[in-house]
Amino acid sequence: MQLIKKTVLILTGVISGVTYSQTESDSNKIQLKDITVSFITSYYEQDGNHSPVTGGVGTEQLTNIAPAIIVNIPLDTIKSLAIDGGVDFYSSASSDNINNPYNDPNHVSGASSKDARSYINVGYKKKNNQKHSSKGFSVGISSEYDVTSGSVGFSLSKSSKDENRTFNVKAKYYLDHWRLIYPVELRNGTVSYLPTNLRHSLNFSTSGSFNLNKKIAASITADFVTQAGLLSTPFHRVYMQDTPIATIEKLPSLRLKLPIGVRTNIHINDLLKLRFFYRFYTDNWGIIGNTVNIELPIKIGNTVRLTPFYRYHTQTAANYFGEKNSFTTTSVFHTSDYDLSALTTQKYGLGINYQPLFGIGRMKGAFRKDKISMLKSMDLRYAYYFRSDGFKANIFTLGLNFTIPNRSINIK
Amino acid sequence: MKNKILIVLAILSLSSCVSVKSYQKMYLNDSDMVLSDKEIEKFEIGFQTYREGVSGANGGKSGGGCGCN
Repeated sequence: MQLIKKTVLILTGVISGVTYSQTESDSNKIQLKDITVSFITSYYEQDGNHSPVTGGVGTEQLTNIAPAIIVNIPLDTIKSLAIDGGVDFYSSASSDNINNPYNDPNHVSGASSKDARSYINVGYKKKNNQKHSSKGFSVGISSEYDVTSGSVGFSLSKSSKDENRTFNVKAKYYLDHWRLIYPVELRNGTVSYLPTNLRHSLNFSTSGSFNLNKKIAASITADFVTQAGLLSTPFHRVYMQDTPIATIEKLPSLRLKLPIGVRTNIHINDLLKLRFFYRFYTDNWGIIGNTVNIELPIKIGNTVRLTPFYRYHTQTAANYFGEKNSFTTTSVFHTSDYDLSALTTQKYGLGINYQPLFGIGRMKGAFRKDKISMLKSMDLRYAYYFRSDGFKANIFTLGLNFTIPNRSINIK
Repeated sequence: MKNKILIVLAILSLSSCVSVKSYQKMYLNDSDMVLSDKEIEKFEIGFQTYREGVSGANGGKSGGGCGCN
């Protein structure tokens, strides 16, 4: 809750500080681009019967309500600040079973059945219009009951003079600090099952985007991700074939991921566009994945866009995955987490965007005294997701996008 | 797979020689033509990252933080 309060205070302070610093009018002033504020809220529910908390069997039921705010503030004509913060409130029958072995007749619902994760990320970007380049950095923090995570990031971007080609390089480092919570039957104050409670993740990303002609844009992205430290989850159980007592998930302390994505957007005509994404993925745990995502934005009149979408994903299993009772006590690495199993997933749904030319509504003094803020557009999106192992999920998302008049600055 | 990637790179490199003038970017400047996921998709991308052993190359998070449950 501390982090939530701090997030609200920081956001209020930043918006007020920027918007109230307007000085007297002057003919040598220019009006900066509007501040944009998006409130996004999602409701997510899932269910399945392969929870890793109970060793690859048992309920995966979970609901999550996630309000978030995304603010973009032009500080002047070349510098901007982006703030992204929110809270995930979740209720999970699965994590409740950290304190209840599979099919325990004495099931007791405890504190682990619900939690909140709060987070904030702040990014700063500076453009160089002469060199057609920009650089930026970001910091972030998130906190929930058993994990605290911090991140720092850096990005560089360079465009061609005609701005038809852009190359980006990004690096981001995460440090996750875990509170090691073991399944209830394995808790013994003197026993430590894991060598570390820290996870390091270094994500390096490079991408190029291209305007192929007046109606087609494409990009290619290659990431290289290195993760080290605690890569298993301490309260995931694994049931072995030669003992009735569960042990905990154990995974190697190093993971190297290489995803490569290609994206193409095509303006087919004034009513219809095609958005296409393909990703190939491989890692040193033995997973190979292929993902395709297709969206077809359809313009209905001048104010509404409908976007039906479909996503297909397939992956091979990690070398360390096995179903319940498939390992023996001699195995070094083992998991029954079906997220790491061989599976196919599909997702389909519909997005609706409502954006009248002059906005949906105006409010005087809502964000800035005596100034009119505008509810510019609204998004509503629904997706149904299902996996080949019977797992299903529904997600609804609502987005309200506001613009707030920015200050004006002196030009020299 | 390596060959496929090289072919895609070659096609993109050759095609990018076409110069689109600023005044010809009316269609490319449309919000549906932005080469990234939309803000409204951020939660979907988040749960997919957790529910699949695969992540990255889409501008979203590809490591760090808890993915429990």
